[in-house]
Amino acid sequence: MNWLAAWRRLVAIARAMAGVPDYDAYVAHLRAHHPERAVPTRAAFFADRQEARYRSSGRCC
Amino acid sequence: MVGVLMIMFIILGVLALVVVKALAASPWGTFTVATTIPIALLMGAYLRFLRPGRVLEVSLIGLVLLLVAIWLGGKVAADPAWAPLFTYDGKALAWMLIAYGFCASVLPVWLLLAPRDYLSTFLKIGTVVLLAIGILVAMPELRMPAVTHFIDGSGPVFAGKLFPFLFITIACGAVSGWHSLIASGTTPKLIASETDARAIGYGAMLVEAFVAVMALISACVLDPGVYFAMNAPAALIGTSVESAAQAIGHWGFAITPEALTQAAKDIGETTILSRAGGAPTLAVGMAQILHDVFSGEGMLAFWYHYAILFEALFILTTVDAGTRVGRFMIQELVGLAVPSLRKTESWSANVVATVLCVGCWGWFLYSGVTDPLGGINTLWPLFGIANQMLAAIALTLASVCLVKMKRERYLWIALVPTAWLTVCTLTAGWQKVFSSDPKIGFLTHARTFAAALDKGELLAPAKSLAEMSAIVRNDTIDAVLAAFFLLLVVAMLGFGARAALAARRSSSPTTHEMPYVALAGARP
Repeated sequence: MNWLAAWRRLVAIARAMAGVPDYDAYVAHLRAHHPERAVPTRAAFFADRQEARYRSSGRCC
Repeated sequence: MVGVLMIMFIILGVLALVVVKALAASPWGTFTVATTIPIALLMGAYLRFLRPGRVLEVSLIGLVLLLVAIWLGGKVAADPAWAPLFTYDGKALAWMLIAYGFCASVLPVWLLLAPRDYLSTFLKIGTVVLLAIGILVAMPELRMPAVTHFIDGSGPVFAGKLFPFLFITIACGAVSGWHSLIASGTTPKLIASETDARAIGYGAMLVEAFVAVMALISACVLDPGVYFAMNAPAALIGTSVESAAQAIGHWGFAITPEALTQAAKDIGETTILSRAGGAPTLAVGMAQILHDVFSGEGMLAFWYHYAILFEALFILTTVDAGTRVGRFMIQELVGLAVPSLRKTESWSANVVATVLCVGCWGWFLYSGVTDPLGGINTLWPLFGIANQMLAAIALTLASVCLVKMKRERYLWIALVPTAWLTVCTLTAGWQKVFSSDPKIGFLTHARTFAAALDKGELLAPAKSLAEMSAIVRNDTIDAVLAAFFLLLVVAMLGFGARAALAARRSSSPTTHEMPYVALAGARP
């Protein structure tokens, strides 16, 4: 693994800790498996995931 | 669920109380913590409109702004015109926190809650690593004796014998019911894959224990005299450095009034007396350790306020997230009776539920702040009992689950800690309610004060008849809550045993997994 890849992985881990899924990974997945779907912008993806994360925290038990 | 909600209110109230205790009469601390709100709003707007999704980038900006805020706070505290604007007593701070909790819970999450979460996540990890390195580099000497004579149960900070009170005073760092709640309800929704659950759940508890050990080290590197001055209630040490030094000297820990004044001056505060709650103690210890590594003129005060900010920030994150969760739980619960309250999209329903939730923990906070006995010292045992009892309940359920899965071979792993926690919490709960020592038993304490009240006498530390009746009322409520928790644990143990026995009669595993349910709106 080269330095750039290691750094990317670290950033992804740090983001995951704060509950922010990786946009690039999502886009890569979308292109590979669901080419017919529209790719959301980074802003739309982030807003959607943030909303989803905090919306559900109510039904905890 | 009602029990869980009650425990949550107590935890939120106690956490908010810790912040209030740390910020009372401290313009520097209040200023820096207050600036985190505009900083978080700024970060929220940046993430939403300028550079969406750049969480690390915005957190770095936030961190720089925070450091500037700490530096500016020192200037504010030293300025005769500005300092009074940020100097508040506990009551005013309690109302501000209650108002803050309300606002944070009804505002859109991207504006305040989420950016604050990001910042506090990275700040938390960074500070824990920094402190760990600091301890290794500075290698501070532990100045607190391994065992003090307070193990006989006469401790000024928390009264009670080593068993069971040691095991309920050290809460989340050892075993935590609160985390079992989060781990069963929230973590599963946040992890990417089921296989990550073990590493995250187990890793989280290891880190928690690691932080607890560092907190113990920070408290023990302090001069014991300073430690007791910071943590004993004003009822025992008075409100002046002279009376405090005298009382603490009486306990066998020599300290001069000048040393106490100097200790406050070093950290840029006017007083360090009776600041129980752990946060200031940890902050002073942390400041000393970090100061050993990164020293400089006036840096001790900087590090102290950095530590206070770090703690206040993550407690406030818990308070606003907790208020949100509490609000949803109330909406679900009260919604059974009043269906219109269930609509989480409705503004009025949200406001009503939020007011209810904030009101409940706000009541604990306010009674803690106004408690003449020094709220933390009264509420912490209750918090500890509630937290460990929740852990005992969670472990009971885990044991039942193991029996149902026909994996009795591993049963002891869950059963041994269950047994120990049950013994500790039931003993502690029983003593807190019924002990004949007024320092420990809520009921005896209430009776002592009620008897004096009937005769129209004042007992220290109460200064008025209203304070006397406040003490009696708080004691009675604490006793009822502790008794309620006791019954809850006994009932859960009974249900658990019955379910386990029923499962044993079956020859095959009796666990069921809920069928897969697609999220609303999710595409197959």
